[in-house]
Amino acid sequence: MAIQSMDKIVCQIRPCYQCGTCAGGCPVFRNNPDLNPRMLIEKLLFGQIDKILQNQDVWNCCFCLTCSQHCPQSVDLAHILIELKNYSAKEGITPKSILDEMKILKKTGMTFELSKMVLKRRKKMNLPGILPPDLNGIQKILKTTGFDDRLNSSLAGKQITETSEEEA
Amino acid sequence: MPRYSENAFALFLGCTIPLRFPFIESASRKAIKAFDFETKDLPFGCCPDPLGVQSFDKETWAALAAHNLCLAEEEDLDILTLCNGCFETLSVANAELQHNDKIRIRVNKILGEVGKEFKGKINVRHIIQEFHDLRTLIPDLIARPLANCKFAVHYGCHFLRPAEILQTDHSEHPVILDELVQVLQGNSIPYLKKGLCCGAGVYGTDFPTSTKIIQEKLAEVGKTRADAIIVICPTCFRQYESGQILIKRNHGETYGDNGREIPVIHYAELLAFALGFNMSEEFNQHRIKLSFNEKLLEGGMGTI
Repeated sequence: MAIQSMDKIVCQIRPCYQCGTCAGGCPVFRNNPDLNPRMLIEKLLFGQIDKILQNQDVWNCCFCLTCSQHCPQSVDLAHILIELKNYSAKEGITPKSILDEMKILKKTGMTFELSKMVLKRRKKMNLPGILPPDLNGIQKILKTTGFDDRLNSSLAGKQITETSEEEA
Repeated sequence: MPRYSENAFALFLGCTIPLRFPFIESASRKAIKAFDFETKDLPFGCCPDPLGVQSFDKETWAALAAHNLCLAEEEDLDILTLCNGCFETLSVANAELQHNDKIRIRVNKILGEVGKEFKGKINVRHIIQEFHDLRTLIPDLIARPLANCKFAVHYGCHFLRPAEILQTDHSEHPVILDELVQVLQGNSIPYLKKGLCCGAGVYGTDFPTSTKIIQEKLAEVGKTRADAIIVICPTCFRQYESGQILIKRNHGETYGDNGREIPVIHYAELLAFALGFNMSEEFNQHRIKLSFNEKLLEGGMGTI
């Protein structure tokens, strides 16, 4: 479950014969040619992992799993990209939108915060109150898995970028 | 998949539905009342999100999912989800933990810190599967037939894939939702690119591409002059509804009749409406106001 070694990932993509079925079905590639699933695999096969992780391309996968379902060689690219994103996050390269979500998860145990407007709307429909999740338990899990450390170091990295953007 | 618990479920609301689109929760609770099964609310946390959390740290994703599964296991209840994301996360994590000893041992070690243990004895179901199982009962319960209405249904990726684990329907040619619309006497219309993703997955990381994907889909739905888009997932709901509002604002484009947007409805809302429940408050909370009820009013179906 922990991040797979790069050798293992390369083993999984070895059956790929570059037919491009993954690219043909990819909803992102048809609109943004920067994310080319076939070429991602080619780069991986040639050991150019640094090139892949240099930019945020792997984060532009929308995880629809079409590539994994269509692949005639059963290469599960969507989940290989999950592994690569885990690598990328470990290196401190995580898009702001994902980090924002992770911050709320750590704070509330959910990925949204309850707004006053929604509370009012819930009352209008006589919905029962929201059962609060076991936040202590969730936060303990986040600490044990190392999620906390990863989030803190990612946020420290992110703050530097944000300051430089403001200066610019 | 056989049910573990008879006629009772732990209702898994997730985050987006109760905290952002509570009208979907309300409609689901109403629709469930018409059938012979009970639901129980449990203090579940985030499922967690199959894209964001899994991408950031897969082990945390598995452990948090297992934590939720444990809560339902302790109550001897199967889980019923209203959202494709929760459905995929909980189903896939459940399967991985059941069949992979290495992962289960690792996750159980983490869960040991909070006094829980994953046993792997329950099932995860999507509310649409449940309605589909009960579809033969629906015709007798309909109070408002949707006979004159045309609907464009959108399944959403995480209801269908990975097909070998979820086993909901054929991953490329699904029929469940079309059949459920037909059961309400509505017309499920064919349209091009029906199986294409809604693009919500890259909403945060690549907004322009996310918009282009939804524009592609909306252009096809628009050609069919559908009365509404039917979804079964709050993330698809947001992508279609907010997407249309943003596209109108940023690009001046609309896809419905007379320069209007196309209303978006979760199937649970459509079902609750057809079953005769008062849905005025739920529909009132939509940002794109429903137009298909005008048709129903013309047909003398009574007010919503």
